Amino acid sequence: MSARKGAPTELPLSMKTKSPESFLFTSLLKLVLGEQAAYVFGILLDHKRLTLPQLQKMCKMKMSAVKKALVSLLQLECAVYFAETNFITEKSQTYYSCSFTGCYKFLYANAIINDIHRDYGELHAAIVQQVLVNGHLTSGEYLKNVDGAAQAEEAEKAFSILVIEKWLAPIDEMHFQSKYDLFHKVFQQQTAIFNAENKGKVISQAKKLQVIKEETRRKHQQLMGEDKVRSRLFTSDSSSMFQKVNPDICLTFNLDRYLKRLRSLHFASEARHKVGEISSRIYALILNRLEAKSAEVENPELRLEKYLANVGQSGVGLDPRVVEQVRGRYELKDQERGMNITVSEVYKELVRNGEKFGVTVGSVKNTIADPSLEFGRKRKNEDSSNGFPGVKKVKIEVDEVLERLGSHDSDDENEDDDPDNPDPRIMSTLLQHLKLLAADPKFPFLVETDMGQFHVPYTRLSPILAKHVFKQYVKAIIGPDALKVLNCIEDKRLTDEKAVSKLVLMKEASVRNILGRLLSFNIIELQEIPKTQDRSAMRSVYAFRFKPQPAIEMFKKSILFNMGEALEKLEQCKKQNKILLDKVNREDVKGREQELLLPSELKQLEEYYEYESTWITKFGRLRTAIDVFEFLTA
Amino acid sequence: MSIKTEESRVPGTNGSFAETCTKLHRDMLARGQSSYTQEELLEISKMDSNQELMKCVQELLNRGIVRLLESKDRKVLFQPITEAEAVKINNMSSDEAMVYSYIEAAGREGIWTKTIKAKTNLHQHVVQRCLKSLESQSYIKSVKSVKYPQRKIYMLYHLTPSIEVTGGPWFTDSELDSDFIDSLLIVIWRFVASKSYPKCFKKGGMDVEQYSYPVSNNHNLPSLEEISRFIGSSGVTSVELSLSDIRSLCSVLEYEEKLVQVDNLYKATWQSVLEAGGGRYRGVDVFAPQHNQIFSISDTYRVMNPLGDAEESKGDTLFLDSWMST
Repeated sequence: MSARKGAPTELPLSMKTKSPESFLFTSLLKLVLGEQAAYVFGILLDHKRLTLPQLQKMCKMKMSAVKKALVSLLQLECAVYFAETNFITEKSQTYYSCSFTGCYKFLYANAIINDIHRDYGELHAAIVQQVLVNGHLTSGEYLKNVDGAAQAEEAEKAFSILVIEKWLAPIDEMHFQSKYDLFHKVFQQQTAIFNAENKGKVISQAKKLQVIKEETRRKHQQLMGEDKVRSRLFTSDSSSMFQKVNPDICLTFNLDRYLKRLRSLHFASEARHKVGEISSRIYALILNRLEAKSAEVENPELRLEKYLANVGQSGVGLDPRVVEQVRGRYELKDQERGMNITVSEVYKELVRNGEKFGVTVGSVKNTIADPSLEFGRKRKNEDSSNGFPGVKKVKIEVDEVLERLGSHDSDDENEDDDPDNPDPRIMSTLLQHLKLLAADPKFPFLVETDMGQFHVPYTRLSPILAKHVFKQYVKAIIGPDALKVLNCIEDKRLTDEKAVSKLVLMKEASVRNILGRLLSFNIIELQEIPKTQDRSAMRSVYAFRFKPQPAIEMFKKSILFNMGEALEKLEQCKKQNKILLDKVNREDVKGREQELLLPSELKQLEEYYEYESTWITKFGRLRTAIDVFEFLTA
Repeated sequence: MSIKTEESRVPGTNGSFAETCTKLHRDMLARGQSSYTQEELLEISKMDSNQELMKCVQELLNRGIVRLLESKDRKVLFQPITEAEAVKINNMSSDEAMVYSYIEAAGREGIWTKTIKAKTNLHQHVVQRCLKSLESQSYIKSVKSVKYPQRKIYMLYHLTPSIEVTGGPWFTDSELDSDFIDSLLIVIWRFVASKSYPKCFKKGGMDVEQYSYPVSNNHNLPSLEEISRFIGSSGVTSVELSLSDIRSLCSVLEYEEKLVQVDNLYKATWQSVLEAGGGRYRGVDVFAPQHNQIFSISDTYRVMNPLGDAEESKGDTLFLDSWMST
């Protein structure tokens, strides 16, 4: 890249190597906004907080180019600003920092549009697409480009639905400002007020800080809770059949709302693997009903506590007990009024929305077995088989036993439904499905509070799911034996190689090999237990432990890097086929490829599209890991 | 064997001193205890004073039919030895007897040659010679330890090595019998799965998309005892497996996430059934794309193929450690 000559033509290699976030997000922004904006973002990511002259100095780009890039980044929520006033010089300076919110919106853009399209329709998806592309939009601006009164009304309706369902959120003055800086300003104000009020009083530093923090917490919550825009969000138009969105209010896509959707999808998907197909679909129905009202995926109180732990001179960090208390309070939100669901409500939901989730009253029928019938039949089969033949003196006769077990199942036939009185049976079947979902206390998809009252324990289930998914990745990548060893280590907390091999009944050499691989990915930690006074390495024993949080963090970063690589590969492939793609994109060739392209070019084009779709799929699959490890771990 | 005798009358007894000693030895053996304290010996012999008892014990020690031991709390103990054993030891050289005594003390655990050398303070050649001699007379035998496969361990010829040495039922010829373990794991899992989900392995698939037992049926799930009974009665193995062995196997299955414990009863996980090809709905291709589902890594069994060398060499592979290795 040449200095001071303007636009960088290629991102420097440091953007790839310094952190996985930098690699992925700069690659992503390069595709959306170009190299310059991606480079500015990368610089902001490095230096956390910069003024415009500082940024320009670091970027070595023209000021106008930096400004242009910065405006785009700010509009798309990839950067935030904060105007700080120096109390001595009384000069105001604006600082810029990077923000991942906009990057995540780009990362999930296609999935968001697909979801909205499936749930609401084409018009709604088009509106959301416009909002995502521009960062924010007023309904008035959108309506300007709509022809005809009927279409305009449809669009207004669509806006209204998207706002009511919280997919679109109004922008207030704090929206583009750095959240931490806003908090820090409140903290500084409270410190100044406290010092002025208590001048000359003898107060310990710890007590002083505690009082200031308490006051900061209160003031900050008050500040964040202020909703100046929401009161003006809808216009009071009595002639209209629906609430119209104020055409002058800027709306942006609400990522938090989409995260709730992702959470529901992952919960339902896991229920499919843990409980069963129909139970998971019923669960998806319940999640869909409660989704909009459910607690935010990211706990705002916990975020505030993290900020508070960062201020002052104590430097002890966030107290785990505080985290527990905050989580405990947040868990209570999951069982608030309106978050409980009964069987009759599930039934109503099934009738109303069942088909959308692939479950109907008919498909629920006969999905719960009657144990008395099943066991009665099995006992009969066992009697007729007249026990097992004499014990042969051979070590294993597995096939024979498996055959015998299989024959029990294959002989079963079930015809136990009662078509005359379906409703009570359906209700009872639904209740049994809900009970199945609530059955495992270690993996509570639902919790039964009172008889027949269920709620979704979002806060409790999210980290459980994240740990489980992480283990499934370990199983898929390193192998089922690695999962076995990892679970054993987790069960025994701190254990050595010999004990592990004894417990998992595997050869020591195999266990050693697996432990080595788990260590290389930082999935487990190692602790030296010296046996001699000189801590001779030859005689030392090493014990292993599993801490999910750092392991998941490391894994997440590896996946983020892999996603960056996927984008890189797509880019490389595009470059390799540049001549052909340029030709295909020519106006005179478009639509007439079969006529105008050579057979070899057609083959090459086909291969290119196949390659592209494969890598987009890989990228999408990797992204599902980020859904869980980035947003559901807290 | 030379037996020293000292004719004297012991007050309170009618026989000779030698007879008293022999009687005490016989009583010690008859009681079946491996060792006795001084107080216990006083009670057995019904002697009045310790002095008399000590004279008698000294006589037995001289004859080589009683051995001195030390308890954990540093008390002196007396161990009776049969006449035949005494004859055997008396025929050995002093070095051989010393080596033999350490091997005998090691019991069913056995003793490592290096430990013998360290304890006896004899030269390695001497120890080797003694071991060879004792082995040739079938007084001792060499065993292979599972814990320390490289070590040469000796124990008395007639003893059966302890489980620590042999490794228990999971070892065949001191090698972990992985095939045996894997087969038992499959059998147990299949047994528990058939009790946890009705018709999950029905040929051709199930007639409904899900067919589960209600939660109230959990008490019908198999317990450890039932699994043990099933393994015992099924004839899958001639090796006797204790309840703790079955528990070990069930723990392995829990670590593999194939079983879970529900109120001390075992239930197979639905995921394990799906991975084994069970729980399928008749006529539905499980390998077909499912557009309405979010990608889940738990679907690996359904949506992913193991990577071949060809794909890997094409450069179309992402490696998890690529960030770590940059």
